[in-house]
Amino acid sequence: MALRRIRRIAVFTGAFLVLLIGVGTYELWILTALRDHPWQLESHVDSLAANCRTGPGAFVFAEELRTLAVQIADAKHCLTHADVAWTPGRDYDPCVEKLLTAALIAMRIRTSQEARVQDEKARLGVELKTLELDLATDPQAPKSGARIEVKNYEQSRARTLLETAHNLAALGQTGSALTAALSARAAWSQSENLVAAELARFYNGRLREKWEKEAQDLLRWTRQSGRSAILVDKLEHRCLLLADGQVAKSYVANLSRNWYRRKAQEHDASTPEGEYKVRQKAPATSFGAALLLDYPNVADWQRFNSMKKTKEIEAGARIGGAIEIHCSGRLNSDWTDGCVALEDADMEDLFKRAYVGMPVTIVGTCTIGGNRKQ
Amino acid sequence: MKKVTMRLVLVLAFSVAASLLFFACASAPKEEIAATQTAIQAAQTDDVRTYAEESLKDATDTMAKATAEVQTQDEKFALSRDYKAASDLLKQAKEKAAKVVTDAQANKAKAKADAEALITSLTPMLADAKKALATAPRGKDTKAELEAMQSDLKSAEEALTAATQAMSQEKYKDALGQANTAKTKASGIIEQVNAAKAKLRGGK
Repeated sequence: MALRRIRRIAVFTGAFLVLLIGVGTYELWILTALRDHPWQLESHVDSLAANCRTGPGAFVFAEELRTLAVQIADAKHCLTHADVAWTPGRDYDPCVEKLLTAALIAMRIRTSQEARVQDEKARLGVELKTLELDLATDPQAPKSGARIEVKNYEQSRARTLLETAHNLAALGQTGSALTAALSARAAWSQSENLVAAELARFYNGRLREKWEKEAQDLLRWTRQSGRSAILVDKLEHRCLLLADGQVAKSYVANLSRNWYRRKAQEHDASTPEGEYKVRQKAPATSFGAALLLDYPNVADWQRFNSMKKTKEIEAGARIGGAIEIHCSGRLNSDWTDGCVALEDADMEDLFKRAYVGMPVTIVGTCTIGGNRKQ
Repeated sequence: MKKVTMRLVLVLAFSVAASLLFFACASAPKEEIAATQTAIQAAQTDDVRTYAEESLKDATDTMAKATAEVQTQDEKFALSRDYKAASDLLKQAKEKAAKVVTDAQANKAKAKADAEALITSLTPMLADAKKALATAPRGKDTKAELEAMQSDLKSAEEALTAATQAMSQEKYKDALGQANTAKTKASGIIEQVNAAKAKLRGGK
């Protein structure tokens, strides 16, 4: 009886030990290799890969994306094989290695894409800031305080594109915003080229020499005659009252819309250049007190006829007239059809000192009164 | 006889224990994982990135939580594994992936409708701006402003063309951005002309 009990206990103990050994072996088997499908890693790699495929500028990384696709396909193939393998022989270690390699490739692509996005954002920020500064300030601002503007369509386009860039940036369309900002920059550069081309004549040595001579002659004449004269410096947007060989007064002048060109014909919205005289003092015109000049003079007619001959201007063109120095000047604006406009108080002052026959010389620019570019 | 029965019972008990250990334990919801992965991958399109980025992030975050939970359970002792929480998360992730697609479609449709409405309203607005410019007070002192406004009108028309082009390429956000610029320019012109007219009336 006792022997039977001992045998029963021994059998139970043996069975328990076998079970224990079985569990131990199982745990050991688990520990010695990766036996579970690496779901988390696989899912992470899939997610990374999808991110890469639809990430910004995916087309730039086409080659890297192909390599990634091959690596993922290889890892998936390995996983499928391991999934169907007999349980005790199942080992996902090689698949994990392949997945990790794929993850590394994907992360490298993502990093490059992120860097690209950051770069785009940074470029956009810088472009927007510099454009705002460029479009707001005018590097040609003369000492006299008036702003020099050479208006052209490209300026307007640049401003519109800048606004579009801001709108697109607000909508989170960084790439499109950058494209708009770069187009705005191109339009602005085009505008600057146009401005430079229009202003080039003001830096032409021969012309400057001619203008300087005319201005100095006028100054000398005031000293010799003891009478006053008016000198208009177009580039500086300045109207100077000369007396006794000195600058007696300096006024800020508004000029015509195309002030940077020399008047050639009617409706060209340009201010003439040359030596004129006050033909009439008109105290009350539609633009207040005005000094009517004797444009066109002989030199203007000669130039006009010569330009007609060379077909620089149309055969039916007219020379124009009624060029005045008048009131209604405003801040930073070139708005007249060809006249010189002074602020009302300045014009009243000049009108008092002016006389019929008073010499008025209009030059591109000169050194009298000081200028910004020698 | 009793001895044989006893041995049979023991063998059976051992077999049952072994079977429990190796076969009866809970297994990872492979099919659910695969289905959810497919759903999320399918949701990761350019449209989703443009119009439903937040929803996509939510779905991928839930998927990451689900797979982390699966992995946690996988690492546990076989008999104590429980994939219920993982299954729930996977279900949520799958639902969110479906929502991502519908969100993107809805947001894209909204952007399209907004852009279309704006572009449609721009044609009469630009015509109004043109009309306003044609009837603007003309004089020597307004020519410069009128010329500037003509340039603005031209650039507004260019922006409208760009917006229409973006619409045809299904870039609705780009179209909105361009159309907004055209709208600002056109309304600016109308306002300026109206202000000039009002000033003139006041002056008389």
